[in-house]
Amino acid sequence: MYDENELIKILTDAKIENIKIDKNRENIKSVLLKLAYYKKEEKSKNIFKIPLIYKYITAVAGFFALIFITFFVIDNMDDGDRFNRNGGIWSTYSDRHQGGDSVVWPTEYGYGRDGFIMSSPGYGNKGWAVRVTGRTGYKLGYNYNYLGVVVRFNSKSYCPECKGTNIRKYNGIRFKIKGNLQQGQLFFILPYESENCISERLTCESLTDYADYEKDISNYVKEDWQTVMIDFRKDLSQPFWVKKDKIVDIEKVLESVHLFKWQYKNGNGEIMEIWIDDVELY
Amino acid sequence: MRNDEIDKQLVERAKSDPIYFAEIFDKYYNLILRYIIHRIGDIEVSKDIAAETFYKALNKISTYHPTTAPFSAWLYRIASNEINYFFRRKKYEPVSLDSSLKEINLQIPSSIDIENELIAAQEMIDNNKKYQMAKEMLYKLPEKYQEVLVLRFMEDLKIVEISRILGKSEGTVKSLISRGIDKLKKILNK
Repeated sequence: MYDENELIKILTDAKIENIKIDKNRENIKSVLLKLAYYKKEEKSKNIFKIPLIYKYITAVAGFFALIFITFFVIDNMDDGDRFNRNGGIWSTYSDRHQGGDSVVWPTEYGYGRDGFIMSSPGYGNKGWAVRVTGRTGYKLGYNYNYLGVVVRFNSKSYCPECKGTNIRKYNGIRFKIKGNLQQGQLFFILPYESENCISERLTCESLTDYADYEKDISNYVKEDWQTVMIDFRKDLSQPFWVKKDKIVDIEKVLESVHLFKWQYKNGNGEIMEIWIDDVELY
Repeated sequence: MRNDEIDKQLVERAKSDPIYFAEIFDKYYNLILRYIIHRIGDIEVSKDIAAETFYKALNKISTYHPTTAPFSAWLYRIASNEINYFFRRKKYEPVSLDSSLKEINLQIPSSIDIENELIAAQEMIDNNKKYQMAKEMLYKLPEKYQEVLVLRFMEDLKIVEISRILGKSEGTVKSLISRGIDKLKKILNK
């Protein structure tokens, strides 16, 4: 004989937990977004009453363009190696080469044996992610101390080639992030570099004297994973200290992208930590 | 920021740019999928219903108003309607999604990995004896009782939340739950 409490217990105990079909989910998401963009395009075309044949051509072209441009995965870290999907390398850096005393892990190039390594688990408790920990020092003073992590766009976008890639067709970049910044600030930076390789530092020449387009993303960094979406054209700006002759149009920068940076500063010597996963252009 | 405030902002942004719908999708997909699995127990059908649910949500997002119900309640309601459709027809096809895909000659990609993922998920469901027992029990009831009992005891929702999902008063929801349990007692203790 069942009583009410027993029946309720049977139902509450029957919960199904932890069933995830992540690959299917991503598939469906991608298809839904393609459909949504396709319909949006169609709607805007209808407003302008384009002749039928042009409408057809542009719709088909638009659709195929959307398939390819809706998303571009820079790296989902799932292979666990230090290269992104296009051969661009992940690496860390700090103010050490300028005489600073900031420390970053994974070890930056030239200061240790390990080089860059991925950490696990990544977003969704699976795979790998970029994990950077360290502390900013005091030697260079407030605002001049820093550490960070970069991902080069592809295998040609660093020395010796220093080739930029045109990403103007994308609206922005998005990625997952979590961590603890202590008292410090974290910026997302879109550097602007030339095709000249500075061979003594094995880096490409900055065209802005490092006054690059950036956004303070400190508020997004919490204990749990958060999604950061940065609209290149709306959310980024060059810092106030940019020299007049280094002011550059964002479209010029997007025409020749070499890398993306996440830079931390002013942490008062406390140990910080950030995790980054699923970096995509949208 | 409160969860409903975050949803409100995301929905507002998704109304003008579908990319923000991806955020909503990521946030709620597993929740809605789990609810559908609880009701149906078949991963293939659940996956299709979840896809149709989110497709309808995406298409109708401009009609959603946060004052009427939280966004999650709105999604649960769409999913519930699709589940009821499945029970009526005894089969399911994501009609709106399929016809839109056909319109532009697009298919949801498939691969061995994707199929294996579904097979593994179905095995998990089939091997969950407690769930199978509850499902067998629930299937002896009319759908309206299955719906409230799953929402209350398997989805852990409060009466007020269920009333928003179903568009019924809290009193009606309480009475449906109570009658559902009573019916179960009678059926099982026969």
